[in-house]
Amino acid sequence: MNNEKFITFIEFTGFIALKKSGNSKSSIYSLNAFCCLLYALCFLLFAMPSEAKVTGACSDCHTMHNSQRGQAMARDYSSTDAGLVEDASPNPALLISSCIGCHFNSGTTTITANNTPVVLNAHDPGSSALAGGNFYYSSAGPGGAYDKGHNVKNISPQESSPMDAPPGFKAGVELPNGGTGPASWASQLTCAGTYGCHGNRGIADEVKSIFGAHHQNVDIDSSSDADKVYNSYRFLYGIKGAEDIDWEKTVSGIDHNGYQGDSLYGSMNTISYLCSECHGNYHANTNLGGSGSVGDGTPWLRHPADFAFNGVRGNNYAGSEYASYTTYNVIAPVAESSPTTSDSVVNSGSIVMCLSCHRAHASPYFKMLRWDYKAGSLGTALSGCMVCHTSKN
Amino acid sequence: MTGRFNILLTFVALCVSSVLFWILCLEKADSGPYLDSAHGNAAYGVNRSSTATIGYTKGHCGHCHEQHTSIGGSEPVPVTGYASPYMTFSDNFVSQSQNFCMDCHTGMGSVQISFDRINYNYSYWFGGDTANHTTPNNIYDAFNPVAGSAHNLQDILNFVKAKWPETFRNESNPCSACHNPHLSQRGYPVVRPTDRDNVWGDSPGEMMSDFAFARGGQYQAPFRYNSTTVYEPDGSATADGSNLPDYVTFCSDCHNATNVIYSSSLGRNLKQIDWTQQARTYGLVGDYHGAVTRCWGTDGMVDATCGTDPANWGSIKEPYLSANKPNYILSCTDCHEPHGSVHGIGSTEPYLLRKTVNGHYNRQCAGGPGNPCSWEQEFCRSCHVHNRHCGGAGACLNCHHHNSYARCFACTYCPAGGAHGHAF
Repeated sequence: MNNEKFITFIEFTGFIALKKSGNSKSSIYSLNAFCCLLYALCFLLFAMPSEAKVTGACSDCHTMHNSQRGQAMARDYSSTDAGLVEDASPNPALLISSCIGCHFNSGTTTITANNTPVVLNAHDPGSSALAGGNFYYSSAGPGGAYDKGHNVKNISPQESSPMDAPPGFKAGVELPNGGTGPASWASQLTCAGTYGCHGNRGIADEVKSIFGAHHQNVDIDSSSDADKVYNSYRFLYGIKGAEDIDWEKTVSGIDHNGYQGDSLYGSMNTISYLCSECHGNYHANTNLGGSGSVGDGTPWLRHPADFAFNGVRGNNYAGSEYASYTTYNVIAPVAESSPTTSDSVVNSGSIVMCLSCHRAHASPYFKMLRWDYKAGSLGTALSGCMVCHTSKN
Repeated sequence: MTGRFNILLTFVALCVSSVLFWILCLEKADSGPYLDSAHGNAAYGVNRSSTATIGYTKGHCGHCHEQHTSIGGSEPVPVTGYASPYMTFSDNFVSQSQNFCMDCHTGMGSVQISFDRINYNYSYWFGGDTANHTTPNNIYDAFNPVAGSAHNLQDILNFVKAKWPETFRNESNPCSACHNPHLSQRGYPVVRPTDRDNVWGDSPGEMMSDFAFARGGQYQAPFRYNSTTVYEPDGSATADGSNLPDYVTFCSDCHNATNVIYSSSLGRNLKQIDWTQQARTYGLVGDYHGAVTRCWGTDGMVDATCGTDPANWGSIKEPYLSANKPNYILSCTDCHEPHGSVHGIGSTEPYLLRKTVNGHYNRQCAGGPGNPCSWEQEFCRSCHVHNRHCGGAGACLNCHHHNSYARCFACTYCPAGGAHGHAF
């Protein structure tokens, strides 16, 4: 809206109010001021969702010839240099950078000026890290350690066996919108594609698997069909959820991602199913590890994911330790069957998930946990466990 | 002015004490049931070697539970190759000798780095006999004596899962019938099978003195080993049971007047026990060592002779004789080891009976007439003089056992015609 339209709008709203009240000219000014304020508020509140879709100049992301005045335009992340370096070879889809290059920041900024979420910082982002954590902690750089996050290709070197394959890997698992996962683990983890998390995992190539999603992106809630990459939660193909507008840069019990779960590990559209597409033996879904690998609660053989508190053995939720977890806690968040970004109540229907304990990308802590599981203080080391296991508190 | 000054002084004192209290209790404020438990103790809690190497601190959940049966792509030692129920690092219970708890609580091959306190038996820690009970020195050995007796873990599991199916199941660990690994404390190790969420014996009303008082009797603590001045369980001068958990109520959750418990070790059902029964009526389950009053005659009549002649009180020794209480109610642990017992000279000590009782290690035999050195007589003579027995010097337990109402409790009180009374 340009200035002229804005003035017209203000005069129009003032005119309506004046006709109803019959007040003096000064009242008009007051009313106009009020309306200005109201408009500004509406602008602030409703403008941001439209930014989910990539906007701005094409050249922010693309380069036509990877050449300008004889210089390569592409820039990609170098783990050796821990920063962006000139890339003489052109990238697919005329992109300036790979996934990592675009979602990298050389400082500690985690949401850039063009609203790009940063997943890899060159310096410790601290509390500014987004919901998935930050690959800074598992990068090859000085702040990184293998055991603090996923070891993504070009961020950190491939690990040696047995960590050169996902722990709990199960071959050929069924993917949410059809297709199967890899028959064996033959590559280092990538951001997207068959050996990655984002995009269509039925497509091997990273860029092709996520092609077009940025241009069609919508800020989804749990009602989204998740039948395309762009309308899936965080481009995780087939996964539902409610996306927090700032990726949990600001986060609280009423301002967070809404994670999709299933009360009895049966659905394929949950965030935990996504994790288990690679870590299959850690999920009780029959497509994955099944009860033979994880148990069915009588008792569990491995820690459950996609299981509601009301499934506690004996169906005595009210008498269980989980009944004392009542307010959404970002240290050990829960999933819901219909999540929102402001769920504040944890109850019998709340669902434990992989992300109740882990960050998706990397965290400052051992095994990309949400808290310092290896802390010297026992209370600190168990602080996340005790959010759910309240009787151990 | 002085009044105002006093008020100000009081206020300042309160503030200072509040701050001090806050500082001193800061760690405590962070703790909870698990962190208060022995396993969850930051100084001496669980500490598996392989997970300690990774960096898990003492008391960490990860020492016992493996959330994914894998850390860093490999299963930490002990490696089973599969996931176990409750995510424990090995199968919860297989047999008397293969038990998750005993992977740590064993001598050789323990996966725990070390023990801050060695698991000697009750006679050692609470009986004070540190001279004669240096073995067994771990729970595994206590439950698997070469010559002795022990609670049969499979029998326990069979019983508790039939009795309380909502609590115990096939994959439960029979140790958890008596302990809660997330609650049990060093000083208060037991948790009742009927009340899984509370430590037993750590609160008012849960002491032996409370049990005895409620049944019209008194508790008298036995002597500590080699002492005639201090008593079990803590070597203090307290002798009224106010410092001893009410093990009778605890044990009676299983061993009571109605439960039928089969012992595969004995090949029969255990004798039923009713420590609360005060009437000495023939046919009622009850025991003199329990709430049955010692000077009741047959058919519930007070025996006047008994009441005035200590010699008729079962020929009891000190400290019971001088304490002169009318109705001693003993704790199960006064006579029994909770896990198992070993006979020190090679023969079997049955029924989990303690080898050191009332300060007396009953290996030594007094010898001489009437003292044939049977282990049973040695055991009973810890508290009783064997000089007024009207019968032979045979095995005491043939007649004197739990709920032994079928024979006279003392021959002089058997009226002609064969009326029967309790013999224990």
